Amino acid sequence: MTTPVDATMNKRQSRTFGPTAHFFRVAWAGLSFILFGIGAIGFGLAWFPMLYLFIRNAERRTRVARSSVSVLFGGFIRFMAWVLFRYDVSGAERIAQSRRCVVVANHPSLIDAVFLMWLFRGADCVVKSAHWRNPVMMFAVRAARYLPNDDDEYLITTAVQRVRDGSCLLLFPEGTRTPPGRDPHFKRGAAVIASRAGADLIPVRITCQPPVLRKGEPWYAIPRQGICFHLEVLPRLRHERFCDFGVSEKTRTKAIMHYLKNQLIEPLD
Amino acid sequence: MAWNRCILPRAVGKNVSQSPGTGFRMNTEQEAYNAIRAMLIGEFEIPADAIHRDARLYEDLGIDSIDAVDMVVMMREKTGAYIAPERFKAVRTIGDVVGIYVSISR
Repeated sequence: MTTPVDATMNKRQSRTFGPTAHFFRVAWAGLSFILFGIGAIGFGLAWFPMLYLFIRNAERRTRVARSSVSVLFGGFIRFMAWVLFRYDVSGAERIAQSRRCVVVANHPSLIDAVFLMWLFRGADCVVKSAHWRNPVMMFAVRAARYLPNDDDEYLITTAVQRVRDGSCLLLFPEGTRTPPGRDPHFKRGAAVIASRAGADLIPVRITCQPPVLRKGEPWYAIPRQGICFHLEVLPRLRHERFCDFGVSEKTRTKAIMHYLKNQLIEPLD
Repeated sequence: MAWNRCILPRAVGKNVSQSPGTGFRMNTEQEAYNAIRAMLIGEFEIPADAIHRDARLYEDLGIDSIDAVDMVVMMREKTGAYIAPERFKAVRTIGDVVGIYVSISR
């Protein structure tokens, strides 16, 4: 038995790492978490408050804040991908036409949101409302004017208005990661927002082989096989086609989400 | 204080059934129920026979969070009064909705 040589570890997708390489990968995962925390504190307490000092125009501040989030997350993904996993993005040309639309993705792992906020630069997204009172996060989420998730009515009306005005909104219809072995439930909010705003839906299928960082899994539970993230930006579902799905809003939006779920998630065995 | 919890609602109920239409206050409870019933049938496509005061909105009638938002908005448009979102989050049955409707239309 020979242990795999580190230099060739990225060549094959389903390679199994030896103990030394595996230890190094787990350490890298820990390092990534630490880096994320340090980055959040550093940028959250220095960079984003500075935006408030130097950019008086709220619109511009929002744009700059969202772009910085995107750049930072891009850097973070590249840092992790250096050792921990490989990723590829297909249909990336569709991202450029993502104004005035709702992006809907499945949520297999912890870092999906990081991927999407990096790829869809300047996109709007829903963030846990506790971050508005968290001193580290508050400047970033306020400057970027993300949507807090505590007030449903405010969330729906603001989201509809912003998407109608040309914004791109990222949503995980599962709400949060679904625990392994459970059938994910797609809430219909994304379809409701798209249909009230008259905007298209862009499905993004995220697959991770073998799965990693699922709900309830600790950060150090890194599989021994090489990990590959695959992000597919699928053709958009045009809002003119929404009416094919049903007459009343409730049946229509439910059917749309059912359709999207079939596109994004393989059925459980 | 348990006695007044038992007696007060019963007394109110009696007034409603005995003297319909005599006063605005006494009617409100039944009116609210009818308004909510009409709203559930008309806007949320709930079958009429599924609607009674103890029916649970989320489990029995398939109302979801978006419906709940729409319902709050409609009730606000009808009564012109503000409903705090936290207050509607505590709602479980149609009876609870009627309670809120009555209290805000005063």
